[in-house]
Amino acid sequence: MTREEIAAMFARREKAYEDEDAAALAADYAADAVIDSPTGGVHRGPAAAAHVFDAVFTAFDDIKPRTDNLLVDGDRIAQVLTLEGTNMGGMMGLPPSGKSFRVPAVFLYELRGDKIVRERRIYDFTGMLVQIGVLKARPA
Amino acid sequence: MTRDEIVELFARREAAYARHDIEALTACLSETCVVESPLGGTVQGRAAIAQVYRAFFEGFGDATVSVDDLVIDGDHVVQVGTLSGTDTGGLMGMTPSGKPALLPIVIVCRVADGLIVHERRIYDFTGMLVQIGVLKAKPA
Repeated sequence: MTREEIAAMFARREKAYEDEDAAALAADYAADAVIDSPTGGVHRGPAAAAHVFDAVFTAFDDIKPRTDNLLVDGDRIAQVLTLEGTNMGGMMGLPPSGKSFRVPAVFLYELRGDKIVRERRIYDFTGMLVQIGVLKARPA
Repeated sequence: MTRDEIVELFARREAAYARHDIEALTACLSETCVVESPLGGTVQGRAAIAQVYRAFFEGFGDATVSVDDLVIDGDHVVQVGTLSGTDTGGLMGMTPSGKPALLPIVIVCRVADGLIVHERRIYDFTGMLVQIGVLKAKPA
């Protein structure tokens, strides 16, 4: 893919996130794609990707990823972004807290052709759980 | 900077980190470099950044960062690594817990004229504090 095609793909994905379109997001993954995320753990392929996206969109129906920078290095991509949302749908078996979170994040991708074959998401996941009230943290 | 120059700069930095060589680490930064990190907040200039390194190495006497990947796009660089260390010296004024931490870390940089001019560190900082026992977390 050219740089322009990759930029267009990620602009489309950001819109799909905002539209909570799990099917559109999942369609970008190869059948053997490996996705490593704090929320979904390590999961594989478009169907599992869609399942995790559905769970995230159920928990946060206003989730908004804002891309701050997109680095393109051949078939490797680093998306630097800010994630924010409100826990309106519950998470990890807990009732919705109605609390919001905002964390910086980096999503790393490897492409093969026009498909994602590997994705790794890194951010302050524990901090996010504390912000939305799933975890309570206090000094030891 | 060329790609080779950037790769060489980050290799030099990785070696300096392995030695906990603060002088060599800050020599990779411009005089007015800005570093944003969960531990040190936003600091500017080599002397202030050296203080953040010092506090971290005093807390984690055996801290290492293994570099898993380097994504380079023009003057923007994302370094993906794994941070490990043991709380042997106490962090944030706490008594040393002797507990280890292991977590992925991403460092987002901008480079110019052979040096890093801006650096932002993204990782599960809250999770790290829980791992070493500075924070206690429990389900809400």
